[in-house]
This record gives sequence, structure tokens and C-alpha cells, in this order.
Amino acid sequence: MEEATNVLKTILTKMGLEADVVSSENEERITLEVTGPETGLIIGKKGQTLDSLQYLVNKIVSKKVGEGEGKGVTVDAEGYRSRRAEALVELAHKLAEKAKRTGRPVSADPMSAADRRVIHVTLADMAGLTTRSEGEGIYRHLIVIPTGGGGATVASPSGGSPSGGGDGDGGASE
Amino acid sequence: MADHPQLQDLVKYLAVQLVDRPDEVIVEEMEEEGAAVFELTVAEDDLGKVIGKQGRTARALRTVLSAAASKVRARALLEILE
Repeated sequence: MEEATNVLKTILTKMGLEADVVSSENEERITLEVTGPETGLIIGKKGQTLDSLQYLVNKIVSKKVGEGEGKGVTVDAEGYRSRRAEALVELAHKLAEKAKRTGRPVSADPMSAADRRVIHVTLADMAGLTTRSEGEGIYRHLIVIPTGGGGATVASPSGGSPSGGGDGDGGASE
Repeated sequence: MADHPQLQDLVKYLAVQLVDRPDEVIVEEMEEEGAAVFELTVAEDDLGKVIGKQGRTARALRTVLSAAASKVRARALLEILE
């Protein structure tokens, strides 16, 4: 945890930013919370800078302690991650509603693996639809696919099995 | 030319942390059309370490460099020399 804190503090100092880092830890992850007057710059557009800092801190720390060793590190500022998660849950429900209403697959904008995961998990137990990701790299995005069960008003003839229990291949022809 | 020694130091620090041969990391600053261009050279075997899968590490380096540059109202670019 000290290692991760020191790496992030060093990067922020070298970026010329005034910031403090408060660390906490649970069984799975280390969380580094950045505070100070310049968190807007540290978060960046759509959290891009925060994500980049998190990515680099994880790379650097895992190089120091050995690949696959040690815990993953989350870098946060002003509760951005939890606010983002709330917004993603809301987005997940909107996408689900639209997919069910239209009976057609609905694509979200490209987003990070962590962001996509929030949506996958949010909709995992919802009847009548399934989710999957498509595209590579920065273009990878999530698609919500109605499966015809669980209250869809329009049955898609090209869709998957009506019971929805299938292998997640439903709607592949869309 | 080195108008932004602090940004140069930032790029060098990050590169040194990521590679297996830190002593072979070179960062030089150039100026091109009003932007500070940082040319990063690493050992051949370390190129993948600073570029990353699908360029992810290079992208993260550029994002962090841009944020630091915007703080001093500069425009900074990172070029990784192969």
C-alpha cells in the first residue's frame, strides 16, 4: 500500500499538481483517494486522466512487487468512481428499457472494461435481455440484446431462444 | 532545447519505472509549431513496455503528460522513437 501511495504521490508532484493522497485497503484492493484544489485536472475529461494514472500506478507497482502479486489499485478523487458508478447504473437501466421497448439490440458508447463491467453486473439478473461487449481496444463497447422473454413487447424473429436461457449467442445476426 | 524540464522529468520518471533497463531511457525535448515534443527512447526490448497492449500504456503516458502540460498552459506531445 505504501508503495502504491508513494508512486502516485511522486507522479502527481512531477505533474506539478498540489494534491494529497489518502490510502485505504480491503481484502481485494488498495484505494488511493486524491484530495486537494486540483482534482478537476486530476480526474480529466470523462475521468480519462484518473484512469491513466490508475493504469500507470498499477503497472509500476506490479513491476516492483512482481506481476500478479499484490492487490489491484484503484485511484479515485472526490468520490468520482462512485458517482460514475451511479451514472452507469442509471445508463444500464435506460439501455435495458430501450432494448425491451424496441425489441432490438442497443449499443452503448465505447467505454473502459471497468465501466462496462458495472453495466454487465447491473443487468445480469434482468429477465428478457442479455449483454455482451464487441469491438477491440478503445472501440470496445457494450450491447444490450433483448432475448424475447421477460416482458419484451416485440419478439425479434432473428433473436435468440425465446426462453432467454441460451448461450448468449442470441441476436448475433443483428 | 528544454523549456519544460519538469515535464521532461515526468516522462523520464514514468518511463524509467516501466522498463527493464532504466539506464537506457532517454527523453529529449524539441519544439514543433509551438508544442513541446518529448522524444522518448528506450532499449529495443523495452519498447513494448512503454507502448503496451494496443498502445494503452503510450496512451496513458500521453494523457498524464497532457494534464501536466495544461497546468503550465503548454501543449505537449510524446513521441516514442523506435
